[in-house]
Amino acid sequence: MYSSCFEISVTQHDVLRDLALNLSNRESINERRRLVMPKREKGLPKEWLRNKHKPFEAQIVSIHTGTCV
Amino acid sequence: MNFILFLLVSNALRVSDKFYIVGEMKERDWCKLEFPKAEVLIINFTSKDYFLPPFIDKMPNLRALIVINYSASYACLHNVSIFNNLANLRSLWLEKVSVPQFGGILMENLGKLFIVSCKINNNLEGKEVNLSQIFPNLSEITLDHCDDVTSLPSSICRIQSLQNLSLTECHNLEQLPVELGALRSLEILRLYACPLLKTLPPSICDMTRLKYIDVSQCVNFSCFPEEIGKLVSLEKIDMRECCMIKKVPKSAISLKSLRLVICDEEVFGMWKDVEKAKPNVHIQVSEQCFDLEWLSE
Repeated sequence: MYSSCFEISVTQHDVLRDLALNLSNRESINERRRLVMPKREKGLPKEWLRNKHKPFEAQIVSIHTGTCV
Repeated sequence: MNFILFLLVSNALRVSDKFYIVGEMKERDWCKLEFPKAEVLIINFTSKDYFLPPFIDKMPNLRALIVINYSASYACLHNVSIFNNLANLRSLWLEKVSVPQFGGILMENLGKLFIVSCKINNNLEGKEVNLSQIFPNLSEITLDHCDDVTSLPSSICRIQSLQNLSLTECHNLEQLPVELGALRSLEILRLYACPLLKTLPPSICDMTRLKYIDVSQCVNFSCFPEEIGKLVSLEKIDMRECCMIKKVPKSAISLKSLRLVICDEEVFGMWKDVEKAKPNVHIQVSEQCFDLEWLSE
């Protein structure tokens, strides 16, 4: 029931990431339940900003900023 | 399924973050966005300074906030007073940031606080920082890889709701507060891999709800308090790779809920004596594998 770090091991495959993103991105930006930036960008994605006049329905929001050098 | 997807998405964003250097968000970089239904917000960035997005204010249902900095140095968070507006927040994860001063902040419904690889700067201590007032309903605290922590702020001991205290890989943690035993609701105490920790304060023997103690890989830990037998709910002790432990307190024989002990070979005999008197207890010797054979596989 109680375990420690010794027993924890997680691996993840890129394909699962793509699957998760694909399943999340089927609806329009404002209607998505999971709103995720699929890649890091300098600021918020332009696509989000274009749609900011309407509220976003997302329950899970993930943002990722940083510029690739 | 949705939860699994959430984990996948959030974990996925941690991959390959080595090659960028700019990610600072200032106040002017944010614009007005509305997320009336948002329950989880994950913020990933790489920079020294980060202004928390003002639109968090427009997330009345936010339950979990995860803030992760990927740069090599600690990030300073700005706009922290926004935490005051998160009445429904249940879980807060901060990683690789300088922990802000929480003075004047109230997070009434926060249940879980994770502080990972952070710089604490003594910001959790001092008269103006009473953790039991800031987090009156906290049930779980994790401090992991926080290298500047040498002792635990004593106001933690006044968080009466605390059930799970995890201090792991805090390489400079030398001692725990004398009054730690005041945490009467505590069920889980994990002190994994804190190499400077030598003992536990005797007051922990008053934690009548404590079920699990983990001191594994605390390589300088030498003894449990003599009165450990008073821990009527204690079910499991993990003390593997604690090479300085040479004896088991006599009172261990009266641990009436004890089911499992994981220990090194040196003290196995002593625990076997306890097992003879208490057939329900199982004593397990840890398997050590310090060799490099896995390299040739």
